[in-house]
Amino acid sequence: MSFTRPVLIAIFAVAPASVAPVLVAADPDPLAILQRECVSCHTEAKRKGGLIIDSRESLLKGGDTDAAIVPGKADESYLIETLFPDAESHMPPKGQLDPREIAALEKWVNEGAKWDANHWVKLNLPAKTEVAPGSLPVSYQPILAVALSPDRTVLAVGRGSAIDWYRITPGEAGKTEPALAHTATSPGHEDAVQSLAFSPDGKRLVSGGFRSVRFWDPANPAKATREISEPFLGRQTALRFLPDGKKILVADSIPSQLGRLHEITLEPEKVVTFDTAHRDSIFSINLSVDGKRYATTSADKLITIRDTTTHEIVTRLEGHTGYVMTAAFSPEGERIATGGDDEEIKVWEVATGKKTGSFASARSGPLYGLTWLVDPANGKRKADEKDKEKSAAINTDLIVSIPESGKPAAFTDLKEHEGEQRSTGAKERAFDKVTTPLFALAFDSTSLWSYAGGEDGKLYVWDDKGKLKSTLEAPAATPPTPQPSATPAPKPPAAPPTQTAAAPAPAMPATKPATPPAPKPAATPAPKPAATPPAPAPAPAPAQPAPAPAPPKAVTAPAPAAKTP
Amino acid sequence: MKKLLTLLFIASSGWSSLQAVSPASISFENDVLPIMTRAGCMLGSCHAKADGQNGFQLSIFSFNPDSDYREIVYDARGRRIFPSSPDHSLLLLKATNAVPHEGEKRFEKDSEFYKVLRQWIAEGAPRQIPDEPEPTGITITPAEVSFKKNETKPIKVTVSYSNGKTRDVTHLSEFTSNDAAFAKVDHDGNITAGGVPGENSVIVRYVDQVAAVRVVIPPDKLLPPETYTKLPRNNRIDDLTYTRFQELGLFPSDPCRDDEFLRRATLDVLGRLPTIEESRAFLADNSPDKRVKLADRLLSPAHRFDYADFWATKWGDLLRPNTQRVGVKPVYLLDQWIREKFRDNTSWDAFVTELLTASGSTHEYGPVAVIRDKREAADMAEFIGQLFLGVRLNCAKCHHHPSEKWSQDDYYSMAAFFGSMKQKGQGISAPISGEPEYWWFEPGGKVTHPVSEAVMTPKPPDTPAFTDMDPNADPRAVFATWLTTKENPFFARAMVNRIWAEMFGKGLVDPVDDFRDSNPPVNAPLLEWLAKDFAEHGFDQKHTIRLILNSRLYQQSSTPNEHNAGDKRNFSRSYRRRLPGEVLLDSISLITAQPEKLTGLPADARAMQQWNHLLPSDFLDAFGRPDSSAAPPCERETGGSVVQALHLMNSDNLQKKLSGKSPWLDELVKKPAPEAIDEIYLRLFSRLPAENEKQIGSAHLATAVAGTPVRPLLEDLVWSLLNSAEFVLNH
Repeated sequence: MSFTRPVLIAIFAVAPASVAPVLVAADPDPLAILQRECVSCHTEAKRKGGLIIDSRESLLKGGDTDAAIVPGKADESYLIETLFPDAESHMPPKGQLDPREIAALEKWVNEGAKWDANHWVKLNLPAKTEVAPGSLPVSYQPILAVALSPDRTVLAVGRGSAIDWYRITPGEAGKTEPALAHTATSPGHEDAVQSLAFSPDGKRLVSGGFRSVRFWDPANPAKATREISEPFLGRQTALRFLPDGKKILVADSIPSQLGRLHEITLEPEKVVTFDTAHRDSIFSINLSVDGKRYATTSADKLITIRDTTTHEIVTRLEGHTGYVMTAAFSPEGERIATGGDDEEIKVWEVATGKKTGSFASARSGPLYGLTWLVDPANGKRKADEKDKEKSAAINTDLIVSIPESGKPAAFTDLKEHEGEQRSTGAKERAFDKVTTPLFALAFDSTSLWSYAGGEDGKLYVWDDKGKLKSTLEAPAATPPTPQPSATPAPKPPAAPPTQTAAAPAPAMPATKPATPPAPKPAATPAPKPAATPPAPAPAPAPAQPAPAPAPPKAVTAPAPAAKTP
Repeated sequence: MKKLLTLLFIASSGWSSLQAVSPASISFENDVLPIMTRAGCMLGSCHAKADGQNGFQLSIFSFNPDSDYREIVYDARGRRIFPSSPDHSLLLLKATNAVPHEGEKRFEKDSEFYKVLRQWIAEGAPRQIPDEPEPTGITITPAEVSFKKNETKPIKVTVSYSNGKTRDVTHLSEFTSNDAAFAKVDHDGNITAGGVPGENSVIVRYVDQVAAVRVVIPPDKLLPPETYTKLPRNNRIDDLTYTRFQELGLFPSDPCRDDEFLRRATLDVLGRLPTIEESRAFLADNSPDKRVKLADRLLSPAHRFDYADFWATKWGDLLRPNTQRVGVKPVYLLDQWIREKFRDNTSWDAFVTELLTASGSTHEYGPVAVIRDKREAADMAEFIGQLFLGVRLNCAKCHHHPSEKWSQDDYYSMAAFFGSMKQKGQGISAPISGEPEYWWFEPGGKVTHPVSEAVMTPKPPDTPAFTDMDPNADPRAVFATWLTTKENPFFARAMVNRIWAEMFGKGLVDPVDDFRDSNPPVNAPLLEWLAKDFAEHGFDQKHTIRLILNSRLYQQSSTPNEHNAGDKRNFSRSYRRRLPGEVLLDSISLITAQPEKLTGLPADARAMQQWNHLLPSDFLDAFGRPDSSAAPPCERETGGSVVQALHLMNSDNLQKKLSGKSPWLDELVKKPAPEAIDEIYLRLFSRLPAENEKQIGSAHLATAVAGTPVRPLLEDLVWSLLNSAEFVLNH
């Protein structure tokens, strides 16, 4: 039973084979041992044996079997006792620590169990691995993010690694309905576009990819205007502008390892990092209506609510039994609705962290998008009701959920209850269903229209009644990589198709290249010289495209590689 | 930006350009799922648990590839795969334990499994690839393997596809031995024989395809064929079993003695001990066909009450709902109905048809109790399948059957036969359900698949769907007609196997209601012939019982010989069985003439007449009656236990019965010792005592001190014999 284990084991390099594990001959680092051997089970989310290991206090508090350590007394410390080969409930369950490591932990406890919080945070950060993203396979083009501009006229859709832009022509009440036209495709990222967010003034869109946050000018979307790639370690799975438009919250996620938050200040550029936000991917960042609070939801099953200015944690909401994918603050800001893998929408009081209700639609599958606003019908009833008591009793909440099953639903008449009787927690109105899992939602809180997309890469639009108004196929857009020879290159749209040609985009200077699919955006270097696109295309889009008006890019053929059923 | 460019440039050496150019080559269903299944991801204890493991939920045996695909590729917005850098997919990092994985390392990074999964992700993780064939079945070569003792041989698993191609999938299959002591099998399909001759199966599973390979360990030496030709045979059962014995090198035990046959047959047919008179008469009879005459007599209408109570108790376990669920009266009526049907020896097709198509009031017509209990079409279908088809569909309710071909489609299409029922009145109102409920057929009901939500067309397992059924016909009646035709492959087979198990202690297929390719009968030709014969004789149970009673096989001794001592499965000798609790209790009550006080029944009622298992009885609890709160069909514990032994030795109740008022013991006291001992042996064992038994008995009775009562000595003798194996066992 004597082996030396390299302290640094989490290196899995891909490209250069020269990176070797670093062997450290000095005394084993007690915190490193705890981090390496114990933390994966003793997290906030898993709490094996009731024990969390994330601070000295957590060890003093201990788990189901009392304190884990007694500082100064290794002999009386349960944690130490479990490490020996003959221990009754032996730890770690499937391994045996080296005697040197046990000795190091004993010594550490005997010397008072000092805890260097900064050191601990560093230990818990996954090593930054060399990742060489190629391009996304052509058959993998799901919509993972959708964002609507604050003025409701521009919709950005993250489809595969690209960002598609749509112009929304507002309808006239009672006369015409809003119309959507595809106007441009931005190169996006190398990996799938994970997140999108508009700035409050609508002049900027930010997108999250892998170790990359890019900035786009809606008026000139051919090329990113700026990129921030440090200090990200994983995918930028959620983004949110703060109300002043000068700061952006970014979630940095490595599945099952990391979910940390960054606050980017734009001018001058500065990044502040909150390392210990979550221990797993963060799926959404949500701002309260007054902008004073924000909530992060994570695969660690928790929701953390923080103060926007200080970033101090206000409360942690605990109760979901699966990943928490999405959340929405109530219009008055006192409550928050959350949902995710456990298929149940839970409603919480932000101030107390108390759960006040829960409901679900049958077989919805995991929930990916939630929005919360005032229900116009009940709102009007409430306003019209003269009797104060009766008026107070009218619940005006309207929550729309986008689930994996493709069956969105609107919930009204929320009821407060503490138990788990899910079916009676609200009144449900089902939307027309679609046959693909939905992963992203943008909601127009004025028209009450919903824009959502998912696995099949199509964009679906529902009206305020839940009627499916249109299904927009993926445009025959710039392929992220050269097409496989089997797939014919899309034809240049010589004549714009009928339905969209009539809708020029006045508010948006047309900056799209008036040419066939731009083969390779400048921001995405070709991985290999040999892989030059076969398309008979002109040179890549110039850095500053001519502002000449051009017909919008059309909604034409289906995606090059349609998803199989 | 520059930094990013550099990074990309450095890393672009390997695969990154390859993925987009080559057409997709890896199939999710034919490559990815088999690897993940074999790697153990889909185990019921891991990601195929009801709620998955750490948010990653797969279907057991990949029965739901669509849902598995979604979990792997798209769950949490594509958390598990990284198509533009496949090696960084969580799926692969976890499987190789590069990121801490509770399930530890499933395969190596340089393994074939890794390469295939990686390639699939690089190709965009498609759900299907062009021209993807479907697996149509697996073949195992060889299908039957003969082993020397302790020898190891490999088997090969080949899957066939709809496009006619085949592929060796041994490395993707899982292997389980039906009996690891008989033959072991390793992870790679190498079978190692044990040291005992015989036959059994190794089950091979490739994703959701199941097949069995027959493992044969021939005896060291086979006996010369003439050894078998010389054997006397009474009927076809003997022919077919001796053929099998010859293949296995087994030789049947000698015929049992007359007293053994009398006791065994009476217990097996009527569930009671022969009376002293019956024993004396049978032993004194010198006619050569006295065993045939006994069989006829036991099955004659004269004994129909004993017969019905005994067999109705068996079927009561299987059919009778819990009184606390459906109410007392419905259960009582059903119990009485079953007894009546067995008294009349109603043919099995008529019995089942009436039970299946019942409608009306639970408080007027017994069989309606079954519908009140199995209210959901799916529950009814599962119940019917197990009882009358011998097929356990219950696993397929939620997922593909682990060791059979049954899928959720099979489950819910079978359920569609029972989906057109209406009811009114009180539903289930446990624990009383005192009010009646009415059930009837009304056209227009439907059963939907829980996943696809498709409306199911009625279809029995392994049978074409009933697509053109008259919409106004009760589908239950259509099902019953299909079920009870002579040619039905399930019905007769399932019932003769149950009768066989009652007569021999074990079914030709064991467990009796678990027919499947991976659990073959020990003697398939015999089972087939019995089933055909049963159907041809109008599904008359007594016909088959008589056939068994008259076979030499049934009349074997339980004493082994040198050629069958190791046999526990092929019926080459009679297997000893413990008497069921009710039989034992009734026997003791009868011997001591002290009826057991049974709640809710007349004073002289027998335990065999109890109509539910809620009635309190320590004795029956000790001897393994079904759990009173279980849902039918119920099984009973047939083994022995320390509690049973202690109960027979020490229970107050038994002591009271022995020392209580008993006309028989009171009479015995007056008789000379040898005569009294004879009677005791006849009563308990249906035989006269042997010479040494007489001596021991006499010596014991001779210890009586003048002036003290002799009866306690007699009680001691009976007590010690009641505690003997010869009494407690049917042998």
